Amino acid sequence: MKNTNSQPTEKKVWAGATAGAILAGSAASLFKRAKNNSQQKSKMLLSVRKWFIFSVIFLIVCVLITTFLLIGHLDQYLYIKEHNIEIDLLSEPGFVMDDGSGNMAFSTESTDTLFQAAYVGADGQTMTVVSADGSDVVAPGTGGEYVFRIKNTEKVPTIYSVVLDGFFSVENSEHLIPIRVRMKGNDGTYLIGSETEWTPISELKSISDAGTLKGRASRCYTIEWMWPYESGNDKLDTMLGNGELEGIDLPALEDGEDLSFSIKIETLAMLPVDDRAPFTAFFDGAFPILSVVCVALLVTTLVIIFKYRSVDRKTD
Amino acid sequence: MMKNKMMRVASVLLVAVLLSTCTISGTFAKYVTQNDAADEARVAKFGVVIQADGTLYGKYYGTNFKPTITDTAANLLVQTSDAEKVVAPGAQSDKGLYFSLTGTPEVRTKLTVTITAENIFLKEGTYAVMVPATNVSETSWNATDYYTEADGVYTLSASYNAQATYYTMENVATVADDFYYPVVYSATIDQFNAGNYTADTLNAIAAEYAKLLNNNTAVSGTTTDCVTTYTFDVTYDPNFDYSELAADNETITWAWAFDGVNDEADTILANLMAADASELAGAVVKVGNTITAPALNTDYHLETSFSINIEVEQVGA
Repeated sequence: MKNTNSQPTEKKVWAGATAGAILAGSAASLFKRAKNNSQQKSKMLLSVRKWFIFSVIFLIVCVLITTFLLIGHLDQYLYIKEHNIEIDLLSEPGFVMDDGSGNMAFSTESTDTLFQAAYVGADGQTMTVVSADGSDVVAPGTGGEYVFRIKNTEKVPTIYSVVLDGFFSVENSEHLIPIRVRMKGNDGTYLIGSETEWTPISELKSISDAGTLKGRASRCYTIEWMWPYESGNDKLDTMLGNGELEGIDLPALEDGEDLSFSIKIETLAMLPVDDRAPFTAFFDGAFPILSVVCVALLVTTLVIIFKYRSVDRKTD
Repeated sequence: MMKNKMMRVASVLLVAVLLSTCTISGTFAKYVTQNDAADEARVAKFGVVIQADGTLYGKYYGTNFKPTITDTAANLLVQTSDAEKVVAPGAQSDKGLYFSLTGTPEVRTKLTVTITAENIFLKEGTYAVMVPATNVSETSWNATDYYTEADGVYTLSASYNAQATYYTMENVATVADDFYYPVVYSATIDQFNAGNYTADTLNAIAAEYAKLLNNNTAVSGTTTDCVTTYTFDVTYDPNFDYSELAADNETITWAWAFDGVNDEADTILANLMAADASELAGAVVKVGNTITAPALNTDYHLETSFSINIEVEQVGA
């Protein structure tokens, strides 16, 4: 994602430099006006000293603040360095995708799954499909629903995107196999399909949702799939169940190979520089300005002092 | 002195500010994290295999008395004059009819079976062929051998009438047992003995197959015009192994013995078949209180057939 903060930062630096130049010019003109006036020179010496002390104190405060912020990010920085991770990629998730119960989506710990090893009929009791080896299966008359949640575990807003894909183990077979899908977003509106309409799995590739999640906020998605019991082509369903793919112009399965169906969810989360918490945003926006102003003040003060000392020596 | 110290402090602070500014700017880089998850399932296996092969009957039977596909008259012992397949005394099936049901589907299934069977039989009683007598004269006529016919009933003539048509009773056959089933069927069902010509072996086999496919539960058949039909359906849970029904590699065969034991009854049946085919061979009668034609499907049946239809489909709850 493009860093949209680069131009505003440069503007802030230029603004800070301009302000610093104005201050430096003002201080220089003040010194010039007073240098031939001994009384004003004394007053100016006093104000220069005060100005200098103020600058020193201000710089000390800036150093303390930047050190404090640095410590807050140092552990992450060191983690990145230790694990040879690029400076802009974290393996520690500040953004998780789970099943709503704290278990990672589709993990073995998750009690809810998109697919199952056994299905019951409409009466809720009679087993209609049971996997012989315990692996998840699909069959005519089966379906499933899965709710997954993406959660921003950071305190700051995060930009995210969600992309889905559905595919079979045999390439270019999505158009032949009668599984249908639909998906709802966080507000219940359908991203594909509708309450009465199911779409082919090839349309899963067209699903992508993006947005911004506030700090600690989460968003839920519901994905549903089904294999119609009456697809209108019992012969096709039977061939798929028997693994007879040659009958539908697909490459034959190898011995022991199964025709499988997968659904994949990919999420990408990004911590935008512009959208961080106000506290850090303040320093992000103001810090370049403050840094330049501080440097300009210190340089101006030093110039004045050096000039004063040379004038003083000449006077002496 | 004091001024130098202050200058040094200022210089150090300047450097510290510059360093911390650079470092903190670097740690405010853009953070990106990725995550992905996937779930996979395979297509549940169906895998039910129903095989049927072979044939029981033929239009032609060769020198081995088994069906042959030849269409030439040479070396044929039995051949039909029309398109129908036939059976005849001395004939038998070749490899027979074979069927098999196997598979272990991972889905709930319903097995639907329809078996029909009909067999040739001659019911208990005395049968004969009333052959028209020729050259009957007053001198050759007698009161014990010559019959006349009126409205399908044959009676011994009491006197000679030159205008009457006389019949003699030939090929008398007596079926002593309840029924005579000339076509004896055999099957490979384990430990099953269908019997011999005194029992309807085909119907017994059909009933046994129905019981096997119904998960070893007997099925009642319905009979109409000597055709017995067994039809039923049974639902099996997922992962039911159909080979447990012991209905795999089943073969049915038949034979019509030509052993001289029931030749007279075989002749009666052959005459009845000829009469059905409108060939003039002499009317067959059953000798009882009256001498009349035997009743079709009650006293005799002239057709034999066997069919089995097996269907397995996935069902829900």
